[in-house]
Amino acid sequence: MSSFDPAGTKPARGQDAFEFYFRQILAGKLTRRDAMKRTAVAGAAVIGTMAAAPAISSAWRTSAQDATPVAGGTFRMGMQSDPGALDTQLQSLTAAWHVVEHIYSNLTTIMPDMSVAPDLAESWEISEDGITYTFHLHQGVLFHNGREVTANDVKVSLERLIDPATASPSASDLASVASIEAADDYTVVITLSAADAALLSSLANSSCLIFPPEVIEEHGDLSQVAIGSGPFKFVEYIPNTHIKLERNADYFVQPLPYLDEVELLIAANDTARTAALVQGTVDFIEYVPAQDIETLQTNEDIVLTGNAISQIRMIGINVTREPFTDVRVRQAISMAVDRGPIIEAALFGFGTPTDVVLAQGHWAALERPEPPGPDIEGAKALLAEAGFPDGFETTITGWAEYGFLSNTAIVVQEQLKQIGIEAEMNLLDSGSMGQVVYVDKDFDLAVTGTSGYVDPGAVFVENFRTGEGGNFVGYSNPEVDELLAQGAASTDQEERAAAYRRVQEILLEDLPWVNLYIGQQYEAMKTFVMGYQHIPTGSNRMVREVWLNNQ
Amino acid sequence: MGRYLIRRMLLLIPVLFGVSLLVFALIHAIPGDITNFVIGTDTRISEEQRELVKKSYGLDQPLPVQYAKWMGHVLQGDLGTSFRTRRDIWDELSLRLPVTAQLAVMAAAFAILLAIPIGVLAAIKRNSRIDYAATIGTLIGISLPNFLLATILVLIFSYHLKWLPPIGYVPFREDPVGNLKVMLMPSVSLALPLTAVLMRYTRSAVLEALSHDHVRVARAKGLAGRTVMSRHVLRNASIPIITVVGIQFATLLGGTVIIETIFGLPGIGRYIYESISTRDYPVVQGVTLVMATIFVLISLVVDILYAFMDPRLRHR
Repeated sequence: MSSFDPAGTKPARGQDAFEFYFRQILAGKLTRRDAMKRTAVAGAAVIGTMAAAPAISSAWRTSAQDATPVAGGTFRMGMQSDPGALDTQLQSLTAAWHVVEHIYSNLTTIMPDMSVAPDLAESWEISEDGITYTFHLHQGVLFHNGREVTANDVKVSLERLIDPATASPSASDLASVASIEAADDYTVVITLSAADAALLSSLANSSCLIFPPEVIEEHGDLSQVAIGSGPFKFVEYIPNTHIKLERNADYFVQPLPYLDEVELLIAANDTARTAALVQGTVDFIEYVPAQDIETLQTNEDIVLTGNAISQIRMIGINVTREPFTDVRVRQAISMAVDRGPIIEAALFGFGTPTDVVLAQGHWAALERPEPPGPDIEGAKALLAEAGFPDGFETTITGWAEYGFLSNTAIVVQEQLKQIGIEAEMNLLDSGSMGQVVYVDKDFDLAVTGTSGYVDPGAVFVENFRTGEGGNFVGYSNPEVDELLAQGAASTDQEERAAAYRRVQEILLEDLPWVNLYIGQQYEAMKTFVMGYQHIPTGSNRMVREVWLNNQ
Repeated sequence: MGRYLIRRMLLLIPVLFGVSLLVFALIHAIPGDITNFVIGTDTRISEEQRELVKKSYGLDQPLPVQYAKWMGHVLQGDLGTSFRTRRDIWDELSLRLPVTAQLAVMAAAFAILLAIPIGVLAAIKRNSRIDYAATIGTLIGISLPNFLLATILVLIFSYHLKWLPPIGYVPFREDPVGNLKVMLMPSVSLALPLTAVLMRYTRSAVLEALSHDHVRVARAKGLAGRTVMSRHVLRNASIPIITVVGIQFATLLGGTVIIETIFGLPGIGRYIYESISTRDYPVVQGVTLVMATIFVLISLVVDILYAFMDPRLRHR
């Protein structure tokens, strides 16, 4: 998904860490002295060992999954933020995506194992040169207004995204598309201007939803209405309160969905969201706050599911600015960083340290051992070689509203002090951060992250190709550009993986980013909630398979 | 009195004009605009597409033009539509004002019902245990931020005791019991600082009134203690107390920003908070203007109440 929503936690400023410790004291888990010590740890330099991220057992669920699903019931979900508007072609927001994914169908979809699967498109063919995609639609699929979904609806829906008149912020999802044609009622032919291996996964993005065009004629846009062909029908949206959905009895994947109603309640505050689940106001919460994972794991009525997400957190180094133009300075920074304490302070240990962009186990990941610990002497030597025996002064720009990212920045600041780099902290609210770092590119070091991705090509092209809008660090390497072109042109996974692995090797040498960790994302629910599966993109679309075992 | 009222009403015009200029300047001075929000950091976007998005919100025009256009609509009673939700701002306000009003009124009621009796008692029994307890209570109330009290309440009453839902607002007319259950913790959290300040003011106001000569005279001529209290002490003490309630009401509205976010209430505070962080200019400007009007009107009402309570002012 394209919006940046780092783990989706947006606590009111300054309350999260304190709140956590307070709660631990209440629960009798910490003495006051422990609390003081740990607060000091969260706020200042940390020297310690990395706590292995505990894996969450889902063994009990497998047995429960064998039971026969029971239809009916209302499923109440505690959502992390209010979408505001529902037109995902006009706003690229995770919160809106988490609503529309239940209402609309796309041509394709992403499965829990991150593979691309058919949705409205029953099957497809790709021409030899990778330029022409022919999609065959399911027949007899009905929109919620009762009309059948045809190839022309697909054409109009996707064309609206790329039409300059729409001024869509997500138009680049289909940047490679040259034309979309309806060959007959059930066949859509998409022609590309250049091969784009990421097309199939892009079509699963919330910006590529398929809607009946008459809705736009009637309402102007999709901000406050939602008529799709998905498992649930839109009932109402009361801003900042709730969104109500009801079962689509005509859903084309029978017998889904099992639930009669889905209520999405907005619970932006971390404590309130967790408490709502425990208290019983909701049956499910998304974005389990890192500080609550351990407590909820010990709660017998609650089960968690989740794992690593495809979002990396890193120090982006402005390679166009002195003294960071010198690769030795960037190497020194990389050697001074100690990821264990960073993850402890940012995510209470629920993160995976990494020095490459892709998570280990991803098909295109460069195989790496766990990143080594810091080498302060080596880093100092490199700095001296680069002409800074006593270090230098610089700034760190970061996100003020995401507690885990500001904590990351604070620990990085302390760690850099050890090699003489005195960084002034510049934490900005999200709106300013987007402007200062991503548009104006006015920063030295930025502690930030990427949004999730399905196809790895997207994350490399966006961030590292010469002159690319998203290449906020100003990196440029012709060899990388060449490899990225190869990766995009090929549809052979092995060939692509080889290109991207080489890119990761080069990035490790050039270090425009010092990668830190990959976060984890969990959903928590009552034990009577059956059939839910976590998807690493962060999607909650498996709600269509949920049924309630408490009726 | 009539002339006084008209003069006060006319004074609203320059005040609100100033507010509109100030809020327009301030919100535009913060880096970033709505396009950063709708784009997220989807960084594949081209420069041209970014300009296109900007233009679709009318942000390509010079600031004075944007201000003049906005003012033109406001003067016709049109606050426009939100950049973010594309809903009409008046419609949204009509949904949200009642929520914040209920919250503020409940909080003020809690504060007044709690603070005034205790404050009076503390003054009468000066330097007693009750007085000391009230002083300590005040100190805690003033120094404890209300978001912390909110968190403590959620942990106790939702997380541990499971009595009250931390989220899930329902309007009063749909489900009165459910509504009160949801509004209880927010209004108590919001009431805290006001209670503390009010208690303190009540105590000193009553103490001051008690020291007046006419109170001693009233006592000396043998009036019953209760009559002295209600006719001579409380009546005099009420003027500063009303002023404090009036002034603190604004602080109360400010507090709704955090409280509404914690408890998921669809009020004005939350609306403006989200709008500032997304640079939803029409909402920030429009809602601030409306809130400023409300605030100015409240202080006007307080001044009028004043006049009724204090005969010296009535005859001016």
